[in-house]
Amino acid sequence: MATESESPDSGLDRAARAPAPAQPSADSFPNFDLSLTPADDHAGHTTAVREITDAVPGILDSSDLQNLFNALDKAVRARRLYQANNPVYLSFLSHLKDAFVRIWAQANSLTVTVEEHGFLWNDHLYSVGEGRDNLAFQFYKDGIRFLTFLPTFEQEIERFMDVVHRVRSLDSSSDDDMVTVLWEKEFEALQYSYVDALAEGLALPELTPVTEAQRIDPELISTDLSGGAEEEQPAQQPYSQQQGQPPVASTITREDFEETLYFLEPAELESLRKEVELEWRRDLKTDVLNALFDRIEDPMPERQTEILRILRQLLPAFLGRGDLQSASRILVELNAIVQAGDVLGEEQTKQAQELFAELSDPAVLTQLLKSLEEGAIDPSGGELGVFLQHMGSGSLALLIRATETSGVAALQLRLRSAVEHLGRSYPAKLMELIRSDDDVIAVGAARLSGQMVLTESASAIAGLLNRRTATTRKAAVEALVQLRSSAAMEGLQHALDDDDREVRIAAARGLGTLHYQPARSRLEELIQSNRLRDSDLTEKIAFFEAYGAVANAESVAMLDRMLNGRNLLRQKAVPELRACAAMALGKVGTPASRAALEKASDENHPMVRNAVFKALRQELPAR
Amino acid sequence: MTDRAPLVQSETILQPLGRALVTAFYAAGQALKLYPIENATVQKALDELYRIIRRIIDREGVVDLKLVGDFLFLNDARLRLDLSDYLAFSHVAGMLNKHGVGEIEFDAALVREDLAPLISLLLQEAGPEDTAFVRFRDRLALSSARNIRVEPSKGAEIEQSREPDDHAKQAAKLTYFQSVQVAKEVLTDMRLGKAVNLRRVKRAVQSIVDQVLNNETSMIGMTTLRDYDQYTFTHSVNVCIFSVVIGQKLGLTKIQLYELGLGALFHDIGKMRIDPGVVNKAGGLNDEEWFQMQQHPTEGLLSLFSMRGLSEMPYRAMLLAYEHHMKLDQSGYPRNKRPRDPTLFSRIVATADGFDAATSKRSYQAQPWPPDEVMREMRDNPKRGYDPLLVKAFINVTGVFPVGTLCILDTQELAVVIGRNPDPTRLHQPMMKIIADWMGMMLPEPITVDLSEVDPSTGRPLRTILKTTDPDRYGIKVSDYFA
Repeated sequence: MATESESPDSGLDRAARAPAPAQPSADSFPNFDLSLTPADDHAGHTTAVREITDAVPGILDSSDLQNLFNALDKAVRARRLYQANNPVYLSFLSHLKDAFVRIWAQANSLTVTVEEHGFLWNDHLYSVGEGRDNLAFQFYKDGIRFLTFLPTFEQEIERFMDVVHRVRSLDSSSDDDMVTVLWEKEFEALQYSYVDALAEGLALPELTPVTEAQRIDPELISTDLSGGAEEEQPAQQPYSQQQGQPPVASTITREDFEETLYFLEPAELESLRKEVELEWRRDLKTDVLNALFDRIEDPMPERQTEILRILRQLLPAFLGRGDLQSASRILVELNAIVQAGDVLGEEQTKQAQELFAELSDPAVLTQLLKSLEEGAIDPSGGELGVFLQHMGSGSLALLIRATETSGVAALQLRLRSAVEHLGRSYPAKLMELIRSDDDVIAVGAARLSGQMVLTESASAIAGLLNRRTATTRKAAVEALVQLRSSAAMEGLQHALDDDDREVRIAAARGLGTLHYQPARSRLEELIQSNRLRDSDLTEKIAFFEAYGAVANAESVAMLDRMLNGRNLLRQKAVPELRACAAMALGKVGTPASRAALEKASDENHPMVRNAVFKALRQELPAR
Repeated sequence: MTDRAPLVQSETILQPLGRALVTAFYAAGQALKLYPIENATVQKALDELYRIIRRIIDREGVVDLKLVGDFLFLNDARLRLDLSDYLAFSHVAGMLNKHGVGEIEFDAALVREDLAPLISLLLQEAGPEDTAFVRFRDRLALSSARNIRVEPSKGAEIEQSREPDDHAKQAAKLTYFQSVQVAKEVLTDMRLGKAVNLRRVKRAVQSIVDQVLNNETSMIGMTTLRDYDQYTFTHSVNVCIFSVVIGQKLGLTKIQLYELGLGALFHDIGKMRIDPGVVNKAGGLNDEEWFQMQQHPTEGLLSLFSMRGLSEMPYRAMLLAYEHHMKLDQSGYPRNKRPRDPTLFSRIVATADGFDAATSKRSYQAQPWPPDEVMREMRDNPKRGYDPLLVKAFINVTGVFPVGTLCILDTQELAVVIGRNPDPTRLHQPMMKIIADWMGMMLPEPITVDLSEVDPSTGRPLRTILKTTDPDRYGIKVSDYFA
């Protein structure tokens, strides 16, 4: 039942209404009484803090407290060894939470004094860790002297452990310590008191004492008041005074006090909330970079040099974080400024150009590529491409090697796409690299040229067909296929005679895919050769299909004879050859080839029969 | 002089619990407004409200929610609102105000069934203003609600009793002087090219944020300690304080206030790279000197790049240093070619900087402007380039006559403003300390008065401000009244 006030202050006397705390006993922790006036606490410090009172309904069992600190010790050590999501660590954490819950069954807060070697409660020191791992010392060295844990702290314990773990790795040069980190975390169920060393020995100003004799000349006040009033004409008075309202002060009128002028309307508050969100979403980096670019355009050489130095520092920082977008931004803007020609001083232009040259340095690039390979940074292909296009031609070899040797397929693809931009900028360099003695680079350059369809590189790539390594020769064949030029096709024909089976097959398939007619006679020669007869079925098929792709009427007749014909002894050709001939006829796709296939439709040999039926099912586009 | 460093205490849990309470109160009110009581949404809202009240009772023994001025207090802790919950706060405050209720106390015996009648009554129309509270109290008594006690609004009387106590003043003083010391060290080290101890900077700014959140009046009072010889350093700290004060009014979170404060502390760091002869020149600057001075925002941006020891680039602080003279329409300096939109924080720092600079004695400004005139100029003259909304918020925090303003009253007394009137409709009638009587005698024990206090026989204010004036004219150090 709501009651009237018993006295002016009774409604505010909540202490009278709260349940009376149990009398603390020798075993309970000390009633932490910090009065409002400075007083000496038991540690000898002069304190001046707000009063907090611990309501202690019962006696705290010291064995529970020991268990708590043991559990804390184990959890802290586990956190050092394991990641935060490790089941072993989580298990220790669970025990620690349980230990706190047992405390809350006996008390509704726990305050400990932080000492160098442990946490003090009721004159007993509880150690957590030793030496460098002494937890209490981590708090003590940063000035923390008291910790108060409150019920529900166990819900914040993961964050607490993260704080402890983080602070442990900080050193004296860090910009954070236990106090600053705890402040940021805004714990709800943890309070701490710390000695602020900043305040030690600080000189505070003394009050100017007022003596009874001190007096201000009233004339001074009168003069002050009349200072402007005599000159003021009625017409110059504020509107409100003209309306007969008294002035409130010489510079302020009643109108100034309209409440709406000083209150924020809900719409204004909403608008401000949006502004705060905008502020928090603001792309600070871009705005800072824009400021630097704007200012580098000021005709102030020393400042230009300083900004270039800053940009030189920012670039590796951005690269290290995988922020290629920001790094590219710097390069794009700087490039534009240098190209403009009349913005930077002579010396500064040279510095900017040196910056670009440094970026192409193998050491810088190697770092970047290593980070990409290890997955430390993960930019998109587009971002990588924009960045790499600012590299000089000298970086092409390194980048090509990286695309060839990367063990990560997704990265290879992105690098290839990115390096292509660079290749287009330096085609002469690319061709030079095709001729490199280093097979890895030569192959990569050849692949890149094929990807770019750099037709003028055909002869250089064809030169790779003379290399000793079969994989190099095969890569050259694949690149020549992509080029599609007549020079490239010439090269492919040479590859039909390669010592390596894979190279030959690739060349034959390539010529077949491109329907390169001039290769017909060579292919015809080869399919009738002993070499092919002695080769495996895959190679045979490749050559026959290639032949079929470039076949004319005479070719069909020859293939028909192979498939359906008999020798002098009325024997048909070996089934493999006949099957290959059928497959070749399937590639031809003319009525004559079809007729030849149908003649063999009643074939008994399964290999031949299957090849014939497969060929008949093929529908080839008209040539 | 402090011989041993004092203990500093972290914030209590009452803040988050208090905000949760207000939010739950609001939610329950909204639910009851829309649905019948047996509706699941209403029941859930009442459950949540009861849960939070019970939690506070379990911890504190009682829940005492008070409305004083436009602040809500939970068990004497002033609740901090931010932009995510201001709506809940204003609705709850509105409900209480409507019925003239200044305090609601839930005692330990509270049951869930007590809550619905209370909220329903608060949602109902209030009676005439002079009988609103009595009507409400009587209806509550007739309802089924038990274990709830209400008291009427007490207004300024209570706020007066909340004048910063000695502890709060001492804490504010320590924080202020620590921060000036840190500012001095940092700015001097920057000038000499030495490594900067950022941990001290962080601690200083965090302390300022804490002090402003707990009691901004004390911290604002510290800004009156305008030391001419250490102007650069005190100005940096003052701008930090004023910026955090504005940010707090806008409901920024603690971390946001910290970021704002950090940037504000460094806003003029570029001046360390300008010729001191130009920075401290008495009188006007010629064209060349003015050009040099206009470089300080850019120099500030560049300085912060060279600040070693930073684990992360302080981009926001850089932008605050760079943009604080740009003005709202970007007609200030430096001028930019690439797109830019100085955001809220830059505008806050600009407001704080403008105010502190205009109200301080400088090498080129022997006579500082009176704070009220400065406020008016900032608010009404768009050419000054300040965000009028932010100036409005600033006035809302500091009052028309900011803390530290020396005034002549119509009683011929001299008085210093020590705080704004808790009644938001009486910002022009601040809390003051009378320091000299009508005969000009300085009072060894200044008397605290509320200018809104009226003479019962005439209904007119007992005292009115006639004029604001310069303390130096009278040889008065207003800071003595905040020390």
